Amino acid sequence: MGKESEAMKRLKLAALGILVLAACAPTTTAPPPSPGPGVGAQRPATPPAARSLDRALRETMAARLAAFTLAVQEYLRQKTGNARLSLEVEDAWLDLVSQGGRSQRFVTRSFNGEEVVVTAVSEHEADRIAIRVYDPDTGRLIHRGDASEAFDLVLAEVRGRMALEVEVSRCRRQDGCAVALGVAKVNGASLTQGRGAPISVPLERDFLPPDFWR
Amino acid sequence: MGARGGLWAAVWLMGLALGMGQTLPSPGAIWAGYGDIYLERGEVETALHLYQRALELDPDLQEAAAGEAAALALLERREEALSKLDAYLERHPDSPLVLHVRGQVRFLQGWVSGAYRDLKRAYELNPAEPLYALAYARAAVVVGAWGEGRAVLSTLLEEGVPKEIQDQAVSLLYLLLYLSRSQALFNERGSGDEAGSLVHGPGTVCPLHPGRNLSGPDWT
Repeated sequence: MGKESEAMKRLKLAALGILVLAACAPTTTAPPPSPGPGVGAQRPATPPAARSLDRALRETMAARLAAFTLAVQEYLRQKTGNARLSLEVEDAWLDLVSQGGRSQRFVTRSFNGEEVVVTAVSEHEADRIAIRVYDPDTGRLIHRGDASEAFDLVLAEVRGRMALEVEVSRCRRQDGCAVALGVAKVNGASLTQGRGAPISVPLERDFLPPDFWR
Repeated sequence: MGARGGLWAAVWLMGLALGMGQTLPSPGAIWAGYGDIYLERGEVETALHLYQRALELDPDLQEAAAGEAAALALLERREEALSKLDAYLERHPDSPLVLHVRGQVRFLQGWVSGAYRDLKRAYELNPAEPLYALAYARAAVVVGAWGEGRAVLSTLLEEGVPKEIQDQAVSLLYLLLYLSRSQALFNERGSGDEAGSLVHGPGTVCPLHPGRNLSGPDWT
């Protein structure tokens, strides 16, 4: 009964879901991650967005996050020449954020010095977003990404938990940008070289497939 | 940018030294991984969409096949789930994960004997997985294979099994005890010797797990 494999984690989800249905209980939904202590303190709250993420948009953004993560994995493999490198999905959110607003997320999973990649991607290519990383205990900002693209990527060696934000500096739609945020563990390679602080990963503009934004 | 360049150069060289010639994991794994996240959140339709995209990339990815079927079952599309599971198992008859999920869906459909066969086979293929053992034991109890159920449940009371699994195993053991004793009384065969040793009073030690006292707080 050793260490749980990834397949077993998936199995648990599938099986528990079915069992819940079998028991005629309401479908359990994990509560949304709450910001950690200090996160969001002394900063303006995210303005409420006028529209909600409907099913189609949720599926689009979830698919975009997955495609982005896959592209990042391929990019990192090419950059490192390491075919063993793989990204293991740990957490993800979809949100709607108004221009100038932020989506605050607290990663509930705890890490033990593993390297993680935080990926964020927005709804439209013209949007501009950046990932911000906070100390979950003090709320201190420890990394602020560069909002020059409709995506951002941060690499960090994490001990304990993470507090994250996606900051939206430009939104094509006036009523808000749909943004997706993902956290994936880096397996099979060490990219941070023992550096403690999070770092932005420089991406060449053409690393995304040509039809990515369509 | 200079520091970044140096970092990437170091990473590149290290990667060349360590990573060449390795097998690439399936690209669908990332899609299926996100599917798991959304299924866990209860966003079943989004999860289904992600699993289906994963299967487009890798039709043989068992995690995606199992996740897709689980999502379909949760969306009350059980016949479709079973159809897809059957098709997958025709290609991969020894996938314990997919057998396990088909067993669960068959259970929901009321096909208990079919569920029992699938769950038993999944357990036989991977007896080290506690969830397979628990599902198999549950099916064994339902079909009346109490000896099998008890034997499997006893393995779940060993060290190293997650507490949530152990708690469910203990509940099932009590159900099994109740059923077997009721049957014994009904048949006027005495007090149910097979299960009698597990019926506890104050201070009774569990014979399946001697380190735990049945009257302790963990068992209440």
